[in-house]
Amino acid sequence: MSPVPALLVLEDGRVFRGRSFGAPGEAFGELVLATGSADYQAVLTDPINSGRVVLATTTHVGNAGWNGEDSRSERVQAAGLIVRDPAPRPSNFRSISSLAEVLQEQGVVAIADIDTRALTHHLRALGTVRVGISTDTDDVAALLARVRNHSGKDA
Amino acid sequence: MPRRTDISSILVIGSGPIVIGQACEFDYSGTQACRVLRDEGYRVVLVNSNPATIMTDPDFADATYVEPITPEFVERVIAKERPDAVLATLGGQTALNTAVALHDSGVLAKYGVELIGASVEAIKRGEDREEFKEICLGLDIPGGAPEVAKSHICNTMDEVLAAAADLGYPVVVRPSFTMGGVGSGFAHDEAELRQIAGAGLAASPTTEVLIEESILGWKEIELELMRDKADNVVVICSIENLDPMGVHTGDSITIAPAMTLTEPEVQRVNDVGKAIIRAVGVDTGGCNIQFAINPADGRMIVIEMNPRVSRSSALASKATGYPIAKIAAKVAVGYTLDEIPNDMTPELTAAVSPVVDYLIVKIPRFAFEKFPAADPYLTTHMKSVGEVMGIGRNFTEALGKALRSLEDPKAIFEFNVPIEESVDELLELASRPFDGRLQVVMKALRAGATVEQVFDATKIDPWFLDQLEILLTVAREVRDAAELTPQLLRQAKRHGLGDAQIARLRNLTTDVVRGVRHALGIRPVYKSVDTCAGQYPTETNYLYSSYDEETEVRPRTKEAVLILGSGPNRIGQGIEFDYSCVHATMALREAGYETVMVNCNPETVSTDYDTSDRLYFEPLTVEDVLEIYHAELQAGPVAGVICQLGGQTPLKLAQTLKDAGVPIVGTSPEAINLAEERGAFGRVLARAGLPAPKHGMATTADEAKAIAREIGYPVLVRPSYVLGGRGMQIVYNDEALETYIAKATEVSDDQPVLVDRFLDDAVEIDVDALFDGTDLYIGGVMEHIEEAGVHSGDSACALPPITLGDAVIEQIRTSTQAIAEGVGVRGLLNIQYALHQDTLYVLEANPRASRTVPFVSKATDASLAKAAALIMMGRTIAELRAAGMLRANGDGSTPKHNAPVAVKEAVMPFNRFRTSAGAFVDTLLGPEMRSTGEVMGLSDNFGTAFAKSQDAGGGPLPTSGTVFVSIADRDKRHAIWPIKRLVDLGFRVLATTGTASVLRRNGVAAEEVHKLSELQEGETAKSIVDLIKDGSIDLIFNTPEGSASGASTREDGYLIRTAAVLADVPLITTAPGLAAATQGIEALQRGEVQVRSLQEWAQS
Repeated sequence: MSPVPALLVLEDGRVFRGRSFGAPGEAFGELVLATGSADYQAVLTDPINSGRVVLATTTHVGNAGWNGEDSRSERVQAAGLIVRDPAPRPSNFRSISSLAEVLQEQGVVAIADIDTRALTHHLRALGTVRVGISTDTDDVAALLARVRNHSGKDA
Repeated sequence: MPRRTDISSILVIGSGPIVIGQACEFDYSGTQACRVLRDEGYRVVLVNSNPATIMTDPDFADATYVEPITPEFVERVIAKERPDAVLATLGGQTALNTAVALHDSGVLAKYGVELIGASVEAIKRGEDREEFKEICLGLDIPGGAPEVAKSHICNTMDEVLAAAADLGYPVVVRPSFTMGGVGSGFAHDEAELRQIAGAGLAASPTTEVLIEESILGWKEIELELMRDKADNVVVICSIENLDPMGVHTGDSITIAPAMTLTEPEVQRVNDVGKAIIRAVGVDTGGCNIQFAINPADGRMIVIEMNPRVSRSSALASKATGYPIAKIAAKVAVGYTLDEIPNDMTPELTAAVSPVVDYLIVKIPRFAFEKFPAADPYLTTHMKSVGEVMGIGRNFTEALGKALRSLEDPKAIFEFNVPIEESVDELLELASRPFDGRLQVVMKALRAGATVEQVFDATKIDPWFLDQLEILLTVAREVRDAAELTPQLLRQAKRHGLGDAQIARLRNLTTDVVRGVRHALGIRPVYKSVDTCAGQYPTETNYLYSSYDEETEVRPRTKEAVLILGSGPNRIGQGIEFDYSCVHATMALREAGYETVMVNCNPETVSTDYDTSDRLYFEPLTVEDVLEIYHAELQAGPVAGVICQLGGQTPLKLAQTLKDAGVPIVGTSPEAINLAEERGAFGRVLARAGLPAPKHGMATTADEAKAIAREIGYPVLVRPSYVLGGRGMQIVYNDEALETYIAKATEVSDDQPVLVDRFLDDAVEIDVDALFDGTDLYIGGVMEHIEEAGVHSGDSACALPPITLGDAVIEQIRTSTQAIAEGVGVRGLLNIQYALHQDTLYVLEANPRASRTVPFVSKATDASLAKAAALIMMGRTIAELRAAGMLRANGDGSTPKHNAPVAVKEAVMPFNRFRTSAGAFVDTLLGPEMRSTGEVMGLSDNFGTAFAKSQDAGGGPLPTSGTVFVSIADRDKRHAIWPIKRLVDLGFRVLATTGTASVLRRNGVAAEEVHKLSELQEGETAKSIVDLIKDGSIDLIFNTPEGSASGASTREDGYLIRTAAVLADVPLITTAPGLAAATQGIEALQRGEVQVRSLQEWAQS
């Protein structure tokens, strides 16, 4: 479990603070909701989510690790991932890696410890929203500016 | 399609008394169904023998029959009411079996009654293990048909043994058509197999068991689904058992949603589940399907299905906010799922699967301390008596809340005490499931065991073990940190550590930790259960706490009243207290308050989100209640908090809450103490001039003996401040007293042993009353029909009393008033008296709702709990009389002319518990309560009411056969006429020597039979115990010499009574009981037994 803090900023100025569990760096994109209980591998690798930042509503993500069969494409397509609690130890006989490892290997930024339900409510109120995650900075204003400059689609 | 208009009245069959495996989850389900059906305009007729339920409240049905749930009695109700349809899928196995019996015997066809909710064919297909197996293997779905465990159907022991030879040990035994796994188990060798399969064949109504290959250690997953006539199928919930295959789901720790499945596994389980519900043909209701998955290779097997609402569906409903029973009732009358709106959000219908953004942990509660000789290992035969649920936004948080909810200090993880055992010893201990295993697993991790090692020993999924390791890491950090920083404290709270646990880790007091936490602003927020993970705006009022960021408690303008519930069911505190809490919320809602319910029991009506304006599904602890109070205070005005309706659980929080500034309404904590603390209560009685049995307090054997010698044997000894009489015993001499003191482990100056004169031959009386500070309203006076010394919760009793005269009743009235005034009661009061040689002694007073409140309320057609709630909020009894809520004149002690006679009978769980050698545990009733539930019989005469109560309780009175009589000298005179009457009614009489000679002298032809102790070595004649065991005796009158739980366990009486209970032979142990049973038998013989609804009784 990495104790590296991470910052999540929405284009309307709302801020959430959490910790990093993916690759270091920054990620920007339009927020998309994922409500499945176990389909994180499919959702993250689905080309339809290319360039998006995925918000998982389920409490724990990554429980069954990462396997060689369930991906929808050959790599993670999402720009970033937001979760409440990533499971550190994967547990499934098909698992060959863990969610955190895959994200780190593929340079995908991810943030944990977020009140994902509050964020879901907020998203519902806004309809669509661009967000930015950063593990490098605590400068909210600067990150917000970069979020607003981002096109929201594939980088 | 719209609801059916071709039917206008529906008979709903309930589940009867609370027993292990079938408890208040069916009250919750049945109540929902009745509400829904009446809202839809149907006439609802209900049959349920359990007076402690909400559903038997006359408000919930048009005609409520508190009658035995047997084919005979239900037929009488059908004949009288002529319903168009019967709904039997919400009353557990009892209702289902009754309906199938009525169908098979042609009764339903005879009266033109249609079975709705599920067809008999579907029920049989689902429950008949062989048919179910064939269905599963024949399914044509993507991925192929699912596998089932290899098995053989057997109807005889020879077939059983052959099956085991084919499959190889260990094997699983599963009887057909039973509930709660009765008769099931794992057999590791032939000896075990004979014992378990023998019991299974006997328990199955079709003398059928399935012998199955063992899949011990596989992951166990359950699915809850619903289907309608248009073939819409919705998956409501997946549940994962932390305890792998081998432990009944009712006894397992479970988590929802399932945590360790991959997407394809989830998909497969859903596909198979949907295919099964379709193939079995459940088309107007719900079902539960159980799967096993091999963690090593993912191989999946279907285990079984329950084509009805069950304990799991109640849990799934509370876990998801999707009210399964309510929707099932609507589907049963013709709606399709897409036509039924989702209560919480208008955007969705019942055809949409709930989406969950939190998780729940369910933990069962056991009562092994009540049955110390019982084998404590958990198997496929359910043993738990209750359960709790914890809701959280991560596993450790939900687990921590669930553990706190159990109210068992041993359940809370221990991180400080040094560990004496080795890792290997701990792993060995953890390898077999038992109550307390999870705590041993934590201990093993503390001792250095790895997750892999623990998995190998227990087969608990490593994901959960890893979470426990995370919790351990956090706990150690909290313990070892130089300073408890806000970050660390917040992290500890997010992982479910309670203030008390943190205090222990840091060597501080709980108050200090809480104070620091509050000062730092570290408080939980409250999220809501909304079935859609926040995607749509919702009207939900169902809340849970989490250490997360944003709260969802809405502001309000109405004054709120918080009602604290009764927590997990246990022996001594169960559904009866939920009844009072739910009634209070109903009354207060009507009176214009915003009602806020707090409880952690997923089985109850109180935790149905429809019951109150707001529901906090939270542990009933000081910490959690204070947080709720604080949150509600931010939302609007709080008029008060009620602690006196949920039994001891909220009662013992009252003083601490008050000290923390919470406004407790009703009887004050100080007044509560006056009634509960021995010394203080003694002074109240003395001031009022009321006698109590002489007593004293002792902390040593010598002190105890001195007291006993002064007040005289026999004495009743018990530890102070207990629930359900735990540890209570009747002692006859010095040696036994010494033994008791030596064994009592927690005796101290603060917790002395109480030594009371025990009144043999006393008539025990229970009174429930209301007091508003000025006026007293007696709800009811109950006379025990059991011998003195049996805990009142285990006793049969009659209301109105059968032998008490007006003078005694008047004395009871004045005494009750004096106690209510002396203590300072505002609300309900329960007093136990003993009438001994014309003196009315006070045994104990409980300044709260008692477990008899629902029984008294139904027997006298008065809502005592509703009245109590209003009195607690300031109304007077005079006002309530004027408003018609209480009788305008008189009260429950002056029954109306045509009021019924009501008999309450207790139901015992003895068939659940065996010793490790396989013998049944001690079945004798005594001062420590052991019953799990109750039934009620109503009639215009005592005999018939008594007969009905026996039938409802599972031991109907015989109308012919042989009666065995063995009566204590003092009762012989009273026995003569009833026995003579039985002879006239055609019974043959057997008696022990002393009794036989008295009977013969009075013209009763009695044959002699020997007691076990009278037989000589090698004598071939059978003793009475042998005759009972071989089924030759149909009825037993045995009033013991001395009293219950006699001086020595070898006493003949004990052996006779044990044999009677085990053989299910009706056993009468008091003189009034003799007369009652005889009257009852006569009424049964004359065919005079009728059924009558509560509504009819109220109108007469």
